[in-house]
Amino acid sequence: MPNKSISQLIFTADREDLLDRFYVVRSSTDYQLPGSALPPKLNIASRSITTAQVLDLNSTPLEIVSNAPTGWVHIPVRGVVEFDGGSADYAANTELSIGSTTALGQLLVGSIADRTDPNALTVVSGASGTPSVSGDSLSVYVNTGNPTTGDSDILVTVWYYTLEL
Amino acid sequence: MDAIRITDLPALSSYDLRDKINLQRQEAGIWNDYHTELGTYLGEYYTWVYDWDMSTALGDLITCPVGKYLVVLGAHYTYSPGAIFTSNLVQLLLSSSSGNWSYTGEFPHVGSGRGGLLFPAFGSGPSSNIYGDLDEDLIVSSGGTGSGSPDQGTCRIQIQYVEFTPL
Repeated sequence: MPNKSISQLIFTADREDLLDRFYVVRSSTDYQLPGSALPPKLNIASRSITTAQVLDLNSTPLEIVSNAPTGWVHIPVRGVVEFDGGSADYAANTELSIGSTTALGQLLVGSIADRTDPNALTVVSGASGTPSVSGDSLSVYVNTGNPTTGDSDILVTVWYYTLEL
Repeated sequence: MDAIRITDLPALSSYDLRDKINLQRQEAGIWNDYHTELGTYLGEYYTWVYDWDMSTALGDLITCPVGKYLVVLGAHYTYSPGAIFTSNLVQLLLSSSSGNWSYTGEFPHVGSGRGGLLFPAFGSGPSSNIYGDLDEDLIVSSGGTGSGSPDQGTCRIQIQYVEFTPL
């Protein structure tokens, strides 16, 4: 970095965990530190889903995060579902879920049974966790079966890591 | 740093809270030079990273300083397959040395990559025993189910935690 200040360097918005190197000083000695040593970057994605789509969301999951690059994986961490009006809560099958598209398992789950407030999508634990698949997209779906009634459009937001293997 | 590139420097695998970095901040239209410390800039928590070669047993620990507790904020992993895989489930275990508290993660040892979070196994909801004891290290280990054992591939585990000094 001879004779250049930081503000003169090319800006990048990308993060390459295994290929990036940061300059750090420890005890007056210069070192390089890989991007993978830093906490993961948190990304965000949202998708509006109509009532008709919600009522078919078990039969037809909808993509919310497009495919990770080859050798990378999306890991959803938290989410929220918001409701836009309507007059009837969704009924019967109401576990809104986020999963890895090619192997749908509940990575995040939240309820759409009460439309009065936004509901959290939280991680699903358990001994047999269903991890995300490398190179896969993330999809929104309703667990078990389609909701039987309900008439509110929803907005689903998910926060997720995208990590290199 | 004249004529020396970052990649010429000796490599670190993890950062220390007091490691220094430089930055420039625009103030009143002028770029001013500063340095800061990673712990000051990111927050006073640690990021532990371990690249597990799955041909060897996973057995490492995060050492707890005397007089402190270790509190995990979050943990995740990525799995990259090798040429041979067993289809067995691989368990990642993060527990206090007394075993009274733990995080777990699990993935199938298959031919495509995986990634996921490690979850608290105990202590969901109010608990009197949600963390390890005073001075207790955190042990990182692996287990599996089914016959055979995974012996190829790599798994990178990253854990964010704080050192907590009790009253």
